[in-house]
Amino acid sequence: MTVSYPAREAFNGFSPISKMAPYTLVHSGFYLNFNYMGSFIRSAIFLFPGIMIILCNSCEEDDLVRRDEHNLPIFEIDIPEKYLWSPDSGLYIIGTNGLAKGCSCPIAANYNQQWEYPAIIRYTPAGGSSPVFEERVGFRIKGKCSREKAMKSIGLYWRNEYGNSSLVYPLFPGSGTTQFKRLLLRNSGNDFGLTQIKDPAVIQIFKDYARVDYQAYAPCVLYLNGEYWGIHNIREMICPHHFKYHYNVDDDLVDLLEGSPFSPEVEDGSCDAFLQDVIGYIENNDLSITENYLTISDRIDIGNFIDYMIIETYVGNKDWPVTNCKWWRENREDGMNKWRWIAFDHDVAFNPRYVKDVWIGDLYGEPYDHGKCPGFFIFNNLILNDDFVQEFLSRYIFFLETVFDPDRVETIVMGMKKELLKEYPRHQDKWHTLPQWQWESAVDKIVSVNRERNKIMKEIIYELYEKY
Amino acid sequence: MSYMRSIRLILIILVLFITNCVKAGEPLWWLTYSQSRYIFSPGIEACYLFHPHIGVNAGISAYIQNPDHSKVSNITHNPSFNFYNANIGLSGYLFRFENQSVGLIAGFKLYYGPDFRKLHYYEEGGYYIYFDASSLKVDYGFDMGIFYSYKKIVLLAKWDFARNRVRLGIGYRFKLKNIP
Repeated sequence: MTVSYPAREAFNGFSPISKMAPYTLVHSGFYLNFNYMGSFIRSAIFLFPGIMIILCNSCEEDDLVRRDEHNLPIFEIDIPEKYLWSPDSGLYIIGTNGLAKGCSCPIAANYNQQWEYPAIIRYTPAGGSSPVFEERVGFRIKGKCSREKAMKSIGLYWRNEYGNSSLVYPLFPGSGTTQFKRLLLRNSGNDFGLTQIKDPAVIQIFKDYARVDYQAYAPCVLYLNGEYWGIHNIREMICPHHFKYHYNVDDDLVDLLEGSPFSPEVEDGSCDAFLQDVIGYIENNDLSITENYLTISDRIDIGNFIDYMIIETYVGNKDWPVTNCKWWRENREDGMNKWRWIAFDHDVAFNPRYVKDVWIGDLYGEPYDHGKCPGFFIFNNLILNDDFVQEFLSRYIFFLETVFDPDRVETIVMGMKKELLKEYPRHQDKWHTLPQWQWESAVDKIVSVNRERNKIMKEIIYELYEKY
Repeated sequence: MSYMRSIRLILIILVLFITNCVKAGEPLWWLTYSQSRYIFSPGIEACYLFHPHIGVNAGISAYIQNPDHSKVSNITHNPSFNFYNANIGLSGYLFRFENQSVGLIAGFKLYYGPDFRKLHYYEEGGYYIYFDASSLKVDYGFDMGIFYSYKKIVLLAKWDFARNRVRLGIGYRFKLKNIP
């Protein structure tokens, strides 16, 4: 699908609030909107039998955002209403001009479209009294199954056509970069309405130790055209620019693949080298032979792959590995040309139902059928090599004892819960998500599931370690 | 899904309970109806008075949804599964006078079906946009109502605090002479 980007002139006179219709008829009355002495006046007049009720309120445009009421950073997005709500082009509704795809309830919906519209964003850091930046960006709806949720993930795209080609601001303290070309305001994916922090919690747990790429996280409150829109997660977007800003690689030379290793979808670059040099090589060579193992070690980053497999299998990310599986490399001999995997989208992790699933491929239990589970193909061939198995098990023990240590995980998750505690009631009121006590209980479940999982996996991994 | 297991269990209990009511021979039966934004919900409700003033009741309802795609941000329920809500509780007569009687009905109510709520007022279109909040949780709460019978015809009006909805019913009193 071709996407046409509006020119910079599209922003001239851009102010959705002041573009409200002067009056609107509704079911039992009408609204009047007008400016008076610099203030925006919105009045509602309702006619009941024999009674006339007139409600008026007045506010400066900037006063719509209650900055002093939030302890989280605030993102504001101004976008013409028609781009969100009109039947033929509104991105936030099912509408009449949709693209048919979906998961639990597949229907043709506008929100499935890759349309991009101009928007103005403002960002106020936590505790700030005014925005620290205002940017002109492209606005999209993002996600796969989570587009079906009431609150949707929003993608923000910096382009020369709009204004700046990238944002330079330290959105994520401690992150490796302060420059961003694309950002996500994520609805927490399939975890929306549940803990709201499942994927960020997994990231926060491993990010200081694991040799994998991930999307940095910071929670925020979103105002959409001045209306409170709930807690969103600010996330980096996985794209070639992400690797450019983190590793200084050439973004034009990035191969970024997704999905099954046998038939990957190409997000950027090409998959030919991967299919030939990695999959083809593994299919035709026995990796238990040291020479062959060293060859494949030159093509994929073994340390990265081990950490990635430990994280995904330990947390029980059950909508992985064929979906939510991305890997990349820089297509240059003297660059980062080993394939590296990216840990993302752990929205279904730490599910108590799967706490006893060991899930480490052929290393434990019945052999896998690669026709049905192609995501384990590389791993199940690598474990034919004793050096790999020993490194994998040693590293797994490190993760069990350090990264996923139950007390450490509890500290991290409780800290994240505390961060959202003050904001949650308002978010709950907007989206009718779990009541506060149920939400807290769902977050606490991450801690209790990890505690149980850690115990189970320690027994198995130490047993395997002794065996090998 | 644990929700689905709970719902199946409740359905089994309801079916057993309603079957028992029929066998006991003194049931009040209602066909019920409730309507909310984009939802039309027919159902049945039964009540068994095992004492001059006290009885038990249970109900179940399905739904048909007809959302206007131009005005909704999401639809989360699979249309092939049309369970909407169920309730179980106690009932009893307040007073009786010749062929007429008035009673109260109250209990626990559980919703699983869609729940369209206002999301945003679209000024240019002049209408509200709605979202379906139901995928996020099962709603449950207290419900109560009143029924009025004249000879064998019984009318019912209920209110629930799970979603703040009204449900109306018209029913039949099968064996009037057996009820003291």
